[in-house]
Amino acid sequence: MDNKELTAKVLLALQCVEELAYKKKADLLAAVGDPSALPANRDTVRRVLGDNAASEFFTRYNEIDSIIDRLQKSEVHWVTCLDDDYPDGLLGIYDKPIVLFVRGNYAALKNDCIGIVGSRRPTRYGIKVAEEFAREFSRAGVTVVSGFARGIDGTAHKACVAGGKPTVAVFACGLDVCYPAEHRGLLDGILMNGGAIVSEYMLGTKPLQYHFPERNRIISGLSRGVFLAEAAKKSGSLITMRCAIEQGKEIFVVPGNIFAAESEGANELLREMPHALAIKPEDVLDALHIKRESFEQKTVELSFVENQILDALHDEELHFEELLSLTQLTVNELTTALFNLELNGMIQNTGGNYYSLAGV
Amino acid sequence: MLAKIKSYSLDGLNGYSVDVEVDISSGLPGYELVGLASTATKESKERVRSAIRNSGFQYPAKRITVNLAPADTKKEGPVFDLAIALGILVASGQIENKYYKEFVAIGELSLDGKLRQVNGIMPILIAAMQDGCRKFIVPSENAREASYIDGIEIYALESFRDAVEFLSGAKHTPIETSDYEASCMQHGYGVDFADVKGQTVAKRALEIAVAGGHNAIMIGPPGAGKTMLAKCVPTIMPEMTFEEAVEVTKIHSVAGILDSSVGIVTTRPFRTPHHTTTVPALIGGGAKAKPGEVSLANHGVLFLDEMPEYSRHALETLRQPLEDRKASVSRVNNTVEYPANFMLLASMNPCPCGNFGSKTQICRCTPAQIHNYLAKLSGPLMDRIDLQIEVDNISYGELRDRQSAESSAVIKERINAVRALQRERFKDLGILTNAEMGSREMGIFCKIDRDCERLLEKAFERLNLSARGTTRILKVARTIADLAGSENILAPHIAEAIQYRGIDRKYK
Repeated sequence: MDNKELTAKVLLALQCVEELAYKKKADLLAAVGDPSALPANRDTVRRVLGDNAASEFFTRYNEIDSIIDRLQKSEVHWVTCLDDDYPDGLLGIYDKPIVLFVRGNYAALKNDCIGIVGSRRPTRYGIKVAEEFAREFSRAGVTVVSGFARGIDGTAHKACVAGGKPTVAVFACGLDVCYPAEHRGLLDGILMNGGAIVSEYMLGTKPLQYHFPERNRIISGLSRGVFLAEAAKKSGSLITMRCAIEQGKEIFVVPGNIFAAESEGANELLREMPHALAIKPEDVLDALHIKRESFEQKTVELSFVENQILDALHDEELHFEELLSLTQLTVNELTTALFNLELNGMIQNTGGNYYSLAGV
Repeated sequence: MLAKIKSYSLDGLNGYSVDVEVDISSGLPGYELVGLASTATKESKERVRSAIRNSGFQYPAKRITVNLAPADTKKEGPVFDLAIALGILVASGQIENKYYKEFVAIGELSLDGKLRQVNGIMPILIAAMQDGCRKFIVPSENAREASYIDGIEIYALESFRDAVEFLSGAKHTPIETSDYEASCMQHGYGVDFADVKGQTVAKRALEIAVAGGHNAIMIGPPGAGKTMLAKCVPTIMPEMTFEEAVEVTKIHSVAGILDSSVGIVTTRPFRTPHHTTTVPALIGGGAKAKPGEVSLANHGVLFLDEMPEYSRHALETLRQPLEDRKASVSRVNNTVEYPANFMLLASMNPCPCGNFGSKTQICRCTPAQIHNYLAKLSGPLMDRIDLQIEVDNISYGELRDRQSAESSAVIKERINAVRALQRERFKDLGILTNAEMGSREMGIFCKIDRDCERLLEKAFERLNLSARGTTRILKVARTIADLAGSENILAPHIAEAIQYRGIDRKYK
């Protein structure tokens, strides 16, 4: 066993010790200098980690081959912070995970990444913002990183998957645990579209409450900039924003409705940091100097009525009734026109018989 | 001496002949009733004795044996009272005329000798008529109901005394046949589609649903007007033909909910069982295998408000009647089949709090809660619902300043025309509406051209539809084409039909 391999195994064993604070791991590594020397320095390990954690570390170290075996069987790739392959963005942060587990396309992490975070109970406005920005980011060739949670996170992932673009989900649990369970389909979509799922937790780890703030620093760490779609006053996504600021990443915030409690957190943050204001996806892409890939516009012949509908929807989302009185068509004629526009991807039915331009 | 009077009883909706045989012999005074009589039938003993005495006749102080033949079928209810009492008078020589042999006697007796109405007169008379009986004595309260049956002599009498005098030679005129058309006069419903402001999509969808007999579900937040819309549906239901009216009346008569002053059901039933309903109440059952709500809604609408609130078991039992259009109620001694050819109309909220997808309210449900709520309506059940209608809150502006909407009468006229078209189309196929089409009929009447096929394919690909919905879409498109007066299904018809798959697209 060469030194490099031994080092990797030691770090993996250390990462597998449950409920061990990052600080202790860092202390330990600082105390011995070379991680490969850890198994030989039992006393040091005991002194720094305490008896329980130390004995768990040695147990993990002894069964390290079966752990590696298990990871391979689950198609989970792992990199240590000493590997050349370790994501650059994370490398620079103070409390980086010493081992990162990855499933899916690892190259997606090495790409330019932008984090999208926000409320788990978003309003329609927040959902629209997340969809729009995620779609534009992924179209520009950026990997969207988010936390796989309900709400904004899931919306951002979904928007990427819908466009067939890669996206990275950072889990707060082991990579064989799908939390929340209703995102199982999304998980498959992420993996099928060249995306990846990432975690610092060993397989089988449950999504415990304190994992989520820990997970947030990886989202910001992986990203060049973090974008906040919507946040109430005590939103967890604000933790991610704080991580991003501490890590020296760019942050971007979309202003929200000043009357809505759901936007209070984001608006407060904007007041503190007005330069973080983003009102178009281009604002973010330009600030990070990311060139937009130009894409071909499809041309579709539109009828007079269809043009009329598109014009009307340009300003605002409209209800079927409003379109009906606007166009003076019969129900059947209007549904046909709307159907054609929807089929061509120009408008969307946003539920409850409301229509808007696609992607607005 | 022996007497034999003809009477009739019911097994489900089928009447069967019962011979009431009365024998009076010397011996200790007594009364014996044989022939598998139920409690209500057995108790006739007391009613008959009092009625005979109080009508001024003699109750023979001899040994009386009554047999209800055939002896191996269970006899239900008090319909034999009149026949038994008449039999006793004949057997004791108080009626000498042999005239009684031509009659079928039906009726319950009260202690003072009055004839009381019985349930199920119409199915009884129809069955007896088919067996070749021509003359009937029925209680006068049943006269209206009986009067719709043409070709037989029916004497509606007030009391037992009238019956005896009549059979002894007194003159009575048979009741006149009522005209069904005349009874179908305009009924006030109290609501009208003209009163529903906005909701153009929902109204149009309901028009399509009624026109083609399609099952439909309305989904929308509380207060959007789902129940209001549902209440308006009877106002656009097409007129019932006489045959349909008779079929509905038979069921309502058996269930004992027929309005005896009208005597026939002239408007399509609109049944709204509460969501705490039990399975037997819904499907039919009980010791007497009574018809359930699905049968009472025959040729009409069964409205399930807040559908996911119904017990899962109750909802699942709906699958068989929805498929076979009849409900079989099995009991230990027999199985009864009732027709259940109804249009299912349901309403539901999109989530437990009701605000999911709303523009103005915030939904407080977790995705798992929403999923579980929708999952209460199983796939097989949803597969039997052709139209999924999204209903949403209308704004104040819409409520106020919309020009007046179409009235129910105008819509109903269109629907009548389309229903007539369907009757003509399916006249040799044993079905009435587009919704009833099976795969064979769809092969003939739902052909679509290449363009439409491509459109469908594209829609499936782009709009997140499930392929299970294809037949639903085609059936609904057929009705839309009929409403548009088009021989073939064209692209716009399919386009509109796809709009009514909202739940498939957004909530699954």
